[in-house]
Amino acid sequence: MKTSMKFFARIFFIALIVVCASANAFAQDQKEQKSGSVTGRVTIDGRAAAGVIVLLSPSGSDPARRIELSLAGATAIRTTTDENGNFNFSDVPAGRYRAAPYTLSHIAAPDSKSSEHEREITVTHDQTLEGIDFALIRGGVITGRVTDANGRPLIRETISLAGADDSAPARLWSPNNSSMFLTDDRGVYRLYGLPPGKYFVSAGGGEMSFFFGDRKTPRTYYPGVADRARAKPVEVTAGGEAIGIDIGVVNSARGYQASGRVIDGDTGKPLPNAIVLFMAAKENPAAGSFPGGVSPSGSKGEFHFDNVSSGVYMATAQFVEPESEFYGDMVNFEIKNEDVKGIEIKLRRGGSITGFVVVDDTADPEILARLSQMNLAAHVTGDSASTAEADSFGAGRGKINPDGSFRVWGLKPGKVHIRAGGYSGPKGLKLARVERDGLDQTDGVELKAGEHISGVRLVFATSSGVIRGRVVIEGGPLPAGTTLIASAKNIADEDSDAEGRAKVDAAGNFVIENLLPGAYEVTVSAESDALPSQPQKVKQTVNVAKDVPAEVTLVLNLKAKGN
Amino acid sequence: MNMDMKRVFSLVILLTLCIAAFAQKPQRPAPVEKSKSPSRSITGRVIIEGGQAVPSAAILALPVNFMGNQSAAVASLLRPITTDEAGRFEVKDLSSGAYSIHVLLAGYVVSDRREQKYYRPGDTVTISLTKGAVITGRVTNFTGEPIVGARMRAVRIKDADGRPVRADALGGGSIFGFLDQIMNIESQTDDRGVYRIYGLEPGSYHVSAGGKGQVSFLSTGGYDSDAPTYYPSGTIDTAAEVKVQAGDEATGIDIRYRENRGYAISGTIKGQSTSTAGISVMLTRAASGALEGIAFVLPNSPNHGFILTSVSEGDYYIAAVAGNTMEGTSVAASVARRVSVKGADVTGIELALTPLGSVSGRVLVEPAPGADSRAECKTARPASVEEVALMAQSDRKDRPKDEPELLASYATSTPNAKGEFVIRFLEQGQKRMVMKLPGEQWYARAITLSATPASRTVDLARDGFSLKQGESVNGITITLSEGAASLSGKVVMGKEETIPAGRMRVHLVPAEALSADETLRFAETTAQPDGTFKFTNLAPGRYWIIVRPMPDEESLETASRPVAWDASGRAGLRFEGEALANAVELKPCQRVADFLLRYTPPVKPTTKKLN
Repeated sequence: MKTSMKFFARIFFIALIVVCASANAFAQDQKEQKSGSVTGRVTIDGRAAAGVIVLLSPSGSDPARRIELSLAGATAIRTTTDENGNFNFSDVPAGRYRAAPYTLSHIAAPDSKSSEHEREITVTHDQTLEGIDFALIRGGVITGRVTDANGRPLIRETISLAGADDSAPARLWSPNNSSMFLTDDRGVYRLYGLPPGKYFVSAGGGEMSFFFGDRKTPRTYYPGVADRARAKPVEVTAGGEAIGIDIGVVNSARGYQASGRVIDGDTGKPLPNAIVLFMAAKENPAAGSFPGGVSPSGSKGEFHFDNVSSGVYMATAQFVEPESEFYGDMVNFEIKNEDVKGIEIKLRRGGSITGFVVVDDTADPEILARLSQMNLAAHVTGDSASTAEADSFGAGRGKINPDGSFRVWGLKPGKVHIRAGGYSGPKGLKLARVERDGLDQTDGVELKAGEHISGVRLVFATSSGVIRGRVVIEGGPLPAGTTLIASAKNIADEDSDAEGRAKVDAAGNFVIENLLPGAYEVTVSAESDALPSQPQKVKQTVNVAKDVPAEVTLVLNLKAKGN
Repeated sequence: MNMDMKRVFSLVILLTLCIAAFAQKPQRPAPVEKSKSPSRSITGRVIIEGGQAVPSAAILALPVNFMGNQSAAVASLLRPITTDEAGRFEVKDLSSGAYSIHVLLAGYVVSDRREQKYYRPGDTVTISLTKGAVITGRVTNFTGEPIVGARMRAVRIKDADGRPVRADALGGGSIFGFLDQIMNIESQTDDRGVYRIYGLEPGSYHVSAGGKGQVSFLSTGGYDSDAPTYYPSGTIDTAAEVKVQAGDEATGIDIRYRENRGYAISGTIKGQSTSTAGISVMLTRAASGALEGIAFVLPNSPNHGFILTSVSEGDYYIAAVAGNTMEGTSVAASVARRVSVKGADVTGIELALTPLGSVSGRVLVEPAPGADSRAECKTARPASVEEVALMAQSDRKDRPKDEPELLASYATSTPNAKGEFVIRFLEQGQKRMVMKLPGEQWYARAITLSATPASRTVDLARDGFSLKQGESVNGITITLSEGAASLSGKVVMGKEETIPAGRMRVHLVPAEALSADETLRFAETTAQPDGTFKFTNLAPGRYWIIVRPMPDEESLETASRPVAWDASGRAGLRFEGEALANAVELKPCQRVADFLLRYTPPVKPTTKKLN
């Protein structure tokens, strides 16, 4: 008989897909009959590059939406460059795409006009989009071996890169090349397609290693030091190979232990089977590269984390069952070169909000029926010590019932922001506002500790508003490696549900969709490591109506000093 | 934290909570009473073949009843138990029940790939690991240029002895391998076109480059839209097998990449889906059982259409699973349909979701007949009914051998302290209640169903029972009795015999005339490589003992259908038993050891009339 492990893996897999699809599902856009063409050229080191794969992927505004698109079955359109390096996509359904050559070993040439490794483009009916060129150079390689104090190879150990000077961009990981950031069974790793520059290479630090009890190796920098200040930078040149970058992990056995227990905040009783989360606090220099750890509490509420390096951390706890009414306090602790015991995390019975959902502008029963399929969640602000990650871990849960009533529970005191998500159909239902006693709760519903509020209305509206915008660059050409992002924020509403983002494409155009009607502030900002200073962010206010796209033009002056 | 890490972290948290959401209490009033016995530990040791201790290996203790004991299931997934410097571990705070123990160490595989064992609190277990095998090579196109960033996949099709096995649909057989695939692409060619797949179980593999892989929905690689190119350079029909033993490294497994045309399979889902989650459509290859693709049908799509792309030519099974245990709505599944892809897209596949069934009942333990106070019957470790591992197993006798069973893993459970059990999410078909008993003091005496009118009880043990689509069979009584016997010994092969002792199957056949059809009294077990065998949980009585070689094409890794499940099988066993007349009498609580069994080639049974 096969092991039940395989069976469990199978069933977990099935259930995971089924359950998580509800969290990530969203509409797949209807394919339109209209189509256009896209042409361009790929060069490597200035010479025509033949046989290079170029992909057109349907584009959403941000990585999470791209994941959602993939889940729904959207696939990239592919072509290959000819012997002159030219490529041609024809009969491309009109829409927005990300065009990129699939060349993990090559990167965008830093000094070229076409500055990006990927371009956001808009394909319109009966038009040929030309000049989508990519100038590439071969990236650099860093390779070496990771061993423990006894010289044994560390298998499947995480490798991380950090820029050692300003010339190296920080963003290197992507779902396509993530496997190169792990050592193999010989402890060997090979990082390729790296932009030239100087890097600190480190092993361990466990980005994902808290999952399932993986060995937790404390972060060790090449050649074998725990302190980044003593790390040796590795120089990478275009097409060059830095070999023998071996790392001897200093102390692959243990860091320190943080332990404590989870108790009921009201009764003081220990609570078993709560999930405890800890992570680096904001002041911790490891914050951002160390997501921390997750562990269940035992029968006496006890928990512990091993291999924690010195630093400041915060911890909270939560029950796994979605119907749990509890929320967890956020607790800070510091490890100063010795174990820390007695961390007490209190779980308290949270408050709740109940009421009804309505849809603003329609009585279509089909649309009303969709509401109970939306996921409801709430997060509470007002706790300055908390971070976004901790807030989302301790977020309150919610449910919309088929009869239109809803409940959100497990809430800590503060300002409760209710969010609705999940599949909502091609026209897009969004939570437009939350009303209590007829008043719009734009700052969130004020909730006292353990309070239960009723009679709240969640008002949904169809979010078909669109902003079409254009960015005009003044004061010089846009430097290589610069990404322009346009974002629209509903002026009246604090909640991020009332926001949209889009990348500005090569022609300076952008489209932000799925907005609720209202007044928005549109901002264009530049994300770049190459600009000497951030140029001034430009803002414009625009009114978004239900059916007519709003137009806006923004002027970005690179010479104006920014914030 | 940069944007990507934040996203991944959110995804990880989402996954953690999704595990939780999955492992939700079932909506039906299921017996979830847990006994108040003090929680205890399972201890053990992990070694490498040869005896060397394995430190820092991850240990997972999964409750058999993960559906009814969700917080324990989630806790065990997140519990950071690792072996110490001496390879020892202790899983503490386990509530009463049956557990499977799993070991994870990157680059290593578990040595024993035979039947799943269950453990209970108080047990000690030793697990042996061997170094996984490695397959490495280079992928190039026809002009010799490297193929960079192509997904690599190795699917196991034969065991270490060269016998066909059904490939593990989740690549690597572990939940961690699966998560690896969600988080990272497990194996991928580098900038030189070189790939390295490690941690492989010994056996024979098909190695392929390109294609979507099983869990490809989180990446859009440049080679995803192709159908995979199999080593050395073609479709699966021309694939060469790569054979590796434990710890081997197969080098030079180079692939010349072709842009094999991938086809699409599309269709619609019919039937009830009341869930807020989507529907998963799974495609498995008929020949190997490997999972070749997954598509999602979103809950609000108008006609519940699905599409699977990048499918290579061949024969497949396709099935849909829907449902969300979080909402308490019933999980529904379609029957697996056979689909052939030959040179063209396949459209119009209709998968009909049907409700799933369940069984429930009670496990009773009766004292030994004659209220035994013998010394042998006293046991230091009493067993609890909560430790009985129950399975509602599909009797696949009349099903095609290559048909997949998607929901088999749901079909296990353990009873509560009162002995009440429920097993949900069962596909229709012929079923058998199978169990693994804790300790050695109990044996299974009867499996019955009280049908209305209450006076009539149906024997479920002899031929199993039929479960209709969505049917709930309630009132099953599993009667266990104290006073079980055990028998262990060794199979001795003749010097001229070429069949290895490890492929001999020992049968215990009830000798009493009235027991001809008492299926529960028949037992079979496969000998270890050194010929030793052990039977436990046997009803006292008289038995013939016979030994037969396993069918030559059967792998030691796959569970065989017990011969005694058919009347003709039972008759054949009794005939052979009578003929060889090798009998053993087992008294209550008797432990027979060192039983020597000589293998003699079987007598061909002539047709014998039975009444």
